[in-house]
Amino acid sequence: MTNTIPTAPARPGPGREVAKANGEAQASTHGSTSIADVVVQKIAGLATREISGVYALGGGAARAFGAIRERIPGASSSAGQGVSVEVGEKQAAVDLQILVEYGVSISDLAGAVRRNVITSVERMTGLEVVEVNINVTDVHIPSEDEGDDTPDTGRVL
Amino acid sequence: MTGGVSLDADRLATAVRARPLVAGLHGGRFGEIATYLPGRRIAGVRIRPDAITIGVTGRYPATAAEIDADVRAALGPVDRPVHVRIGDVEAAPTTR
Repeated sequence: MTNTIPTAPARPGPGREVAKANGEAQASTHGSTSIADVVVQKIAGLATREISGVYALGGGAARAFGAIRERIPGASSSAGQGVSVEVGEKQAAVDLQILVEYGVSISDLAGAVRRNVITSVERMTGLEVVEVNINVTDVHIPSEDEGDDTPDTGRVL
Repeated sequence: MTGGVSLDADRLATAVRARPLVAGLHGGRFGEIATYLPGRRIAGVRIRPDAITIGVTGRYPATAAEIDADVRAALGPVDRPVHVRIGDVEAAPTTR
């Protein structure tokens, strides 16, 4: 990445600088390659889910909607749920909403998620990720849903 | 950068587990001492920019000072402070 973007995280919100010229990414003399928002959204969503300690993505409303979608034949829960992105010509910014498992260190987990999202998006799309903002919407407590997939927190029960 | 951190945590975990006075790694009261990686986590090793925390289960006859020294010997020289947390002790080391 040859851009001169400061490594310190930029301010979130509407004022951020994502070079916005959609559809003309990575031009060469023999044509251009463009990357849709959905691509970055799905990659970021999958990279977030991969990290051990992330229970799910999305806020309350998105998750409730996703639960209904899963029951419709032929539809599946969206990989991009809880992920919003801004994609520009050479850069992208990602906002995530995540639910964490009870017991994890949220600051360490957020750091791990950020690292994995940046690495995945940069390697797969070639876009420079300028920021990854993480909003932890809830903590998942294993006893809330009966029995299944209890995360291993290393505690002696 | 992900590779560096994951390699480091795995290396530290293996080195610490191999010590005679350490029965295993310990994730702390809630499992908060951990390294979060894609698809797995390493309980008992936490690497932050300013410090490293190692959570261990000691072997019974050893004192806390001996376990601490053992863990530090396993890590070798590192560039930041190391915190050792002994989360549990395991009795009867010969039965395993």
